Amino acid sequence: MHDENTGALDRTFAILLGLVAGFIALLLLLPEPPLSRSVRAALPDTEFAIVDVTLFDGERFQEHRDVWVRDGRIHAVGRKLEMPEGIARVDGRGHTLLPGLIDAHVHAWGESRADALRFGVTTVLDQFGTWSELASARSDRREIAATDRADLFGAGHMITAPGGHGTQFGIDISTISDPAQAPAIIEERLAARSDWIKIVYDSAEAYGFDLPTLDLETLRAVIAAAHARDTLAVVHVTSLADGMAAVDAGADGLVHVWARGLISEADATRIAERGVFVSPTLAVIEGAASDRSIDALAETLSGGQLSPTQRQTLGQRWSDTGAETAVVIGDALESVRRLHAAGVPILAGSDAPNPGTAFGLSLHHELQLLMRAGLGVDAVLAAATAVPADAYGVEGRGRVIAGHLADLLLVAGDPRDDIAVTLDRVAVWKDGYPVALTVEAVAEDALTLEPGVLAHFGAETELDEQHVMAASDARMGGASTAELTPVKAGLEISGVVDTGSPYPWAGLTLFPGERPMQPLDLSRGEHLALHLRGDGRRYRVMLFSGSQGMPLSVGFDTDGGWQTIIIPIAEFGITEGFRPAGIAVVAGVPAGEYSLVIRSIELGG
Amino acid sequence: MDAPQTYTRLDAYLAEAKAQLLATARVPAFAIPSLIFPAMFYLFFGVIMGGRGPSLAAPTYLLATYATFGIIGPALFGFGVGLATERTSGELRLKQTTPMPAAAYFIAKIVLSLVFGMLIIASLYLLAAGVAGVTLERGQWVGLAAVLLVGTLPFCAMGLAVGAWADAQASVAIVNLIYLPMAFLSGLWIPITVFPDIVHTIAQVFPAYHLSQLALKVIEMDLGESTVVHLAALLASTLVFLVVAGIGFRRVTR
Repeated sequence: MHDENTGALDRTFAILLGLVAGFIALLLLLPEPPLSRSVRAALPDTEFAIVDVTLFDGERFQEHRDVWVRDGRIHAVGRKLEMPEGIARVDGRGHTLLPGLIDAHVHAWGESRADALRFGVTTVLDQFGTWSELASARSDRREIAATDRADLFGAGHMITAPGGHGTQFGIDISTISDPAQAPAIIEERLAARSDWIKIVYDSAEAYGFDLPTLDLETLRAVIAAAHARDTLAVVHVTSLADGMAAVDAGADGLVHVWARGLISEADATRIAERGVFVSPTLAVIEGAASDRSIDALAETLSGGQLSPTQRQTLGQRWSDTGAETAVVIGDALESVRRLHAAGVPILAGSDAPNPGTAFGLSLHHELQLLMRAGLGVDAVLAAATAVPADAYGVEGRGRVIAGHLADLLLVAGDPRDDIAVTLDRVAVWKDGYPVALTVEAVAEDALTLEPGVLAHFGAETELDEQHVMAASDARMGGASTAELTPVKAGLEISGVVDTGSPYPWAGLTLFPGERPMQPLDLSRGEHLALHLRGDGRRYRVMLFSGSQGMPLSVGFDTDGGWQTIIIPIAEFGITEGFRPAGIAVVAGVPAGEYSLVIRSIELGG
Repeated sequence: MDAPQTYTRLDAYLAEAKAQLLATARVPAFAIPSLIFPAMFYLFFGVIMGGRGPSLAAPTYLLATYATFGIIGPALFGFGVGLATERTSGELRLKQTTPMPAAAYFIAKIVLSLVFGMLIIASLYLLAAGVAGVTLERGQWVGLAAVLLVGTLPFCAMGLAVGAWADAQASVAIVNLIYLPMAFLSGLWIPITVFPDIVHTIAQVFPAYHLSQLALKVIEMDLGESTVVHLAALLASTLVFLVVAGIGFRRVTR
């Protein structure tokens, strides 16, 4: 009896011990962040040297330099360095090495930091972004590790008047209308870990708007409150008058150059004397011109360098008329020239991802525009390296000197011959690790769909266009219609099929991936199962891909009652190389009204 | 005849711990929701809704806050309701007549909270890593778990304060009245950054807020307030609750 009891207690002890051990084992087995795909195959040496290269160190050019990288940092820079035998050497002859570029004005989201890095932009300064981007960027930039994205420093939310510029994006940002609120709003920005303060002082009058904006007293108060907390305050302006007012109010820097009006030499000198820097963002201004040059620049790139997102933002256009904006860039270039001549530090920034810009590529475009504005090549390159690093107090970046991070850009040729050489990237290193330069190399794996429910609809279904949308041949010139209505039994797809086009179709499109048109791998499933109630018409399930032309489809009949339609994947006849990016359920001929209620779409295994 | 079996102090602690574990496990109406609700909430709000888009920031952030929410429950209910029930039913008095050291009762309840805590953290970790694809450094996985497990103690104290004063029925109501609003206003369900400033000010008074900020500090997603302040708040509230509980017990046994 006694033994049983102690036995039971021993068992309890053992169970508790086992539980703790199991818990600890779990903690040790959980996944850590992966290395970037480009270095997955073979870990490169974290020690290497670039030998006999033309070096732009952030401030000036130096010839025949060796740059020795170790453990993610620049170990030494000099002529004919004495280095151990076994270190991997990169032959720098005929090439130029630059510090990883810094884009002084972006709005990062999604994959944009990865797009930037492929173009040699190793650090981006975010001038209005979400707290979550900033939070995840902070831990990234503390690490020295292989990565596929640029480092980010950010202002977090910008400070603006109620209803002013910045409040129109649907992000809930706090606003200020009274100078007395200034210290509190600065505390809020700092608590949310903004790296500097960005303030909007702009009624957008220059662009024909009349937005509410801060008054001068409030602007002064906010800048003073930022300075009281040892924090940089930059001001967004789009007019010359606002710019000068902001400078007099104590701004440390101006973002955007004015679209109209030429700054006088006296005013430019005043800006220089106050030590204020300017980030003109010519790229976004020029992007509004009808004769914008970014498209031609993008065409010079060989295939695989631009991601779908970059192509998308490049393809967008502002809705201004072209003639008006052709004048704008001329004035802006001249103002930049005068500012530079007066000694004002000029920072290169793209304002990506506005229409006509793309992360990474647009910074190189900005360099070319700064050349057009008359800055010499040294000043142009410094504008994207040492100058923004100094202006924003970004440590360890922007220069090729011992101790700094090994964020490097190696290009073929010499930018002094042609600034466009900066795009001719031979290698990019971030934290001492090489970076893949093409999108293919950072291969976009197809999302493997596991057997299960791909979509399930009911009265509460929220139609999120990332995943579910109505679609029809109207996008190809047809006249059919499709409308989606959540109902209790599922999702009603209804509309009219019009046979005025060669391939009439209308209905529902489903993107089961994380984003629209993400390629899918259906091989794990055997069939698609649709639970639906039709109206007696014949419908089709289509698999379509982004690039490969005609979709594959299989038809099925409905009988007016609830049915489960099973379509074997094999029946679609998916060929090698066809990557489905979406699944559509559509009505086709004959012409007329159609209505289908769909409850769920499953991939059956 | 065998020599008389002696039981050690450890045996008493183990026995009481086992008894309480069994007693709780035999009330599935408590045990199962305690374990499943945090995982369910995290799955819905953290993984499925928060996991939209390429950034892992939301599922990672919500892992910390929902895990905080999850571990508070068993501590509050175990001490708050459990103690009150055992007091009301006379079970506590019965145990006081045995040679079992008084501490064993409380240690056992703490062990119980920790066991539940480990299970809840494990379930959320598995959902985060397995479903949402969250990855953290090893030190962060371990550190977050450690902060949360140690952080159950202030809530054990909170529950103790409730259980020392309330009877069985009242305790259920009181614990629920405290638990859910406190969790909500501390930003455990919806990130505190979403709320207006006034909520952030109110939250300073809740231990749940301070614990969640410490948890977020491990993954560097907190609001940047001082660690010392959070620790002091948790320590102070623990002491206050213990004092309240002490007074409550003295009142009963007088």
